[in-house]
Amino acid sequence: MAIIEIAGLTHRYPDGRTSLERIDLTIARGSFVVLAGANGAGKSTLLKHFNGLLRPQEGSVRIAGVPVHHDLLHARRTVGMVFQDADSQIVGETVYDDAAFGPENLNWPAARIRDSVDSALGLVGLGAMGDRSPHLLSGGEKRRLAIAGVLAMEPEVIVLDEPFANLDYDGVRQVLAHIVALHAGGRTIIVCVHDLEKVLAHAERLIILQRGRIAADGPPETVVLAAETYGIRLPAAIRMGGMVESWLR
Amino acid sequence: MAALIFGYQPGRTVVHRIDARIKLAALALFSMVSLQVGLPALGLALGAAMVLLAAARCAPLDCLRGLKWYLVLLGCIIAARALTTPGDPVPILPWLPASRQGLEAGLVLAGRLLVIALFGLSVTITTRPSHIRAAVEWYLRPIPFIPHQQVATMIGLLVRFIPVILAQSAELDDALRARAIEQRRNPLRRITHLGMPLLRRTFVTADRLASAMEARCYGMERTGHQWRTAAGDWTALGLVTGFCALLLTIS
Repeated sequence: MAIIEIAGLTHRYPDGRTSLERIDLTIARGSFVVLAGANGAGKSTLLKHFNGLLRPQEGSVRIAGVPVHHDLLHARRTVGMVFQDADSQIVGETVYDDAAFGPENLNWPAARIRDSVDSALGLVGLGAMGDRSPHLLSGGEKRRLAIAGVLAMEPEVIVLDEPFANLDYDGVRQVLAHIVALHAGGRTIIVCVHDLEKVLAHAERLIILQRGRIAADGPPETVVLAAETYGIRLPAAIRMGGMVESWLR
Repeated sequence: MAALIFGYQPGRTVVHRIDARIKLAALALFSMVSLQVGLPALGLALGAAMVLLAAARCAPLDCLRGLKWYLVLLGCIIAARALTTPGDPVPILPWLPASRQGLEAGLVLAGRLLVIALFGLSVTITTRPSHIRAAVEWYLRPIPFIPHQQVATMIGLLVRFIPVILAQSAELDDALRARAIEQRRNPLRRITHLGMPLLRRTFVTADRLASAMEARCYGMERTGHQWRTAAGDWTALGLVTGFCALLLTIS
């Protein structure tokens, strides 16, 4: 059953340039999708339509059957979005306060907020750091806090924009492990990257965007072979005739 | 480093447990009284501030060390007052071109500022920033035409983003020095080269922050802070009030 349905979505910048052109896309509930594309392909613009940060100029976006522009709150509760720059996403003065920001905005009762925040911080391994200042966290911890801030709102879909950017090997593995665990727990995961190496082994579907259009869409093992045609580096293992291995091994 | 010393330090002491609204009220009351009292009362207040910091499990000497530049500033205030106020020479240093009256006035002024800073410090290190924000919001609520929730959010964002902007500024400064900015003699040019990119970066960060807040459903109807005022909080306020009365009596 589809949780995100996009039909004929077109978006243009104020200067008239087209960033998305007639996108038709359906994402199944519980799937793990990788959205790839070179810089300027329209990935971030597409992601922003998933939870109503951008409204369709043409076409429609439906989240769990409800058009985004009919119920923004529903879209934002259903689709949690983790941005590329964790530093400008973290708004709380402490780790706990930041994770509680979303649930407080949803006006939940205090006890539910506490349970949800404790559970989200525990899931990403920050349970013991509630009183720490986010400024003092490492890059990987900040990214995990950004994920916890979204998880605390209990979304069904988690969208991550370049979740591995600026992370060291250990940081990538930590974040990837949590993404994979969230998917195993039943959530729909959409990861937006321009480097397929780190995440492809876990994906069930690979979508490639080029100049605002869907250039390729299908099982990762077949779509990836054409990646370089669209300006995305082919993973080294595939280049050498093998299969992409998980970074968690 | 200063941010580490002055920031919230988790703990379970009596001072940590006091309601943030009571702490802010006590700080305001104490600050007002400090501005009215003389040297003997300020000495007593300084002792009380040290005891309070120790009770909050914060070594008073570490706090003073963290305040070293503030202490230098206070020293300058004392010197300026002593050197510029007309009066009798200082008995033990008759060769110094300073007056006894000026020295006393400087000590009183510096003492007041130091005592207020130490009590303020004892509030910030024992109170979660979110509680301070909620207390400010609570005090602003009855005032008409002030968007108390927005003011509270602004305070929170300010606390959160000062270190981010400082870190960005340090990064830009390093990048400029790596490209020999020191060779530029004109300080205005140097400031412009640092200021313009920093400003641009700050605006970009603010733009991203707005998107992130919107994505997390930021709005006017938010869950408020759950206040629980116990007998201990009122006792603390009573003690501060009594202490302030004592200071006024001594003066």
